[in-house]
Amino acid sequence: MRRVVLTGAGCITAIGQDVDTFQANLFAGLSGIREIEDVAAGELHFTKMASVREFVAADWLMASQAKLAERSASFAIASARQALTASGLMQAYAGDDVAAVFGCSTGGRSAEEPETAKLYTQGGRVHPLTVPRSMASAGTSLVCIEHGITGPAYAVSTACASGAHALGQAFHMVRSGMVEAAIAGGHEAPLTYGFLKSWDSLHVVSPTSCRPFAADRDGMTLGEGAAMMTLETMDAAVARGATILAEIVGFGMSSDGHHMTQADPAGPAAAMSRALRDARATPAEVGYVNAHGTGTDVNDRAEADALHRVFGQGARKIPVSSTKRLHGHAMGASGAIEALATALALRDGVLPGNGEIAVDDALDLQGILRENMRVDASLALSNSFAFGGLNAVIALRRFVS
Amino acid sequence: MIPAKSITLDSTLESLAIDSLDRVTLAFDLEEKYGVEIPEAKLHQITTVRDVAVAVEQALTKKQMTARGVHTA
Repeated sequence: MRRVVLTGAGCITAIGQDVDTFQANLFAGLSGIREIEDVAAGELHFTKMASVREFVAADWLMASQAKLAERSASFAIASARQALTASGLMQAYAGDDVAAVFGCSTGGRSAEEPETAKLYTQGGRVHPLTVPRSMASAGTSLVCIEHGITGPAYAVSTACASGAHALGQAFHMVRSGMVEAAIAGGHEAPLTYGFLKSWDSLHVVSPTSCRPFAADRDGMTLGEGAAMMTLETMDAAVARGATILAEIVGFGMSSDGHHMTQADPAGPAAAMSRALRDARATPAEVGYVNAHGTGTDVNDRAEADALHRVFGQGARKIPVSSTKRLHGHAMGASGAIEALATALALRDGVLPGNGEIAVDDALDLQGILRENMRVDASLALSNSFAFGGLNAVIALRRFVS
Repeated sequence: MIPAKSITLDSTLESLAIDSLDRVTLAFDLEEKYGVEIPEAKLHQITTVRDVAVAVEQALTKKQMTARGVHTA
């Protein structure tokens, strides 16, 4: 079986618009959650979100892309270019041998919503580029066009697990030999007024700030962003002298088959178990779980339940954290952003903490980290459990040459 | 960038790197600016800058005649 490694990464997040800044803020525990500025007070039950502030699309978009890339696709373009530049992937592989698989849940809302709002309230016409701008696969296409990627390419949409499903599928494609290399991740820029109002109606967004696994947690914090990583076989990466971030060793998927918004712990547990089986690893080897950890009462309880099912007695001591408290819940990008955080944690031997919370004892997880933990964990899981019960778990291993 | 001075009425849209998406965007913008409608069939026949100008001129004439109550075919 071919071993697959991550060789380059890029990101656009609320806590950094490149990997170095993201990493520094991740380990410093610097939150990107801020007051919402352009929605009138009283319009929403929550006041904060984790938006990517001061993102300058013009810094990233070529003239041919500027007219076609809305915010979500712009995040894809920026983070993919970072990852491809860092890894030198396109100099090492023919376009035919490279796949592109990107997770995107909501598509180009900032292109579609204003046009639709105008149409429905004033009538008239819709801008002719609305269709190509708002397709959920626009980011995938624009990146393929820019870099001459002509292998298998598509967008994955599984709500909040999209980025993890995309990474996992790309991993299997490289491992099986379908392609020699891939770029994969997730991108999302959903924070329109309509989106915020929609989430407001669900009453799952924190009126304060996302505090995963805290006894006083009161919901999630909406975010946006992107993360992309390049994947290739370990042998080829080593042979060409590429810098290796981490080894990707397992991918597990499942569906709860249960409920649109309430997780059945059996589903997440199955995804974790399948990721471990895919990695030919045992639960005892896992040294860190980057939790889905949205900070809602229901999610965190279900995830704790799932961890107990998979790890048994080991669940009581396994280090667990959710980095959503820093970068927010970036929807279809979150699985990729968190897989990146997990890879960095393994590489640098630092597990990011959950901050100064009073841990919810009812979860019975004594390994929930408050502060960062310095440890050379060898195997980690990155969990993504979407609304509608679609689950994806990535298993990463610290790479030692 | 293509220098504006080098663009003539006979320049083809293709030579100006205006692709099919740019063409529908250009037509959309002109229609919005002049409050006219360029017929679908006409849009597909346009190849030069002159064709664009003529299409807009014809659309404007049609608009004025319609405003005066004259109906053309």
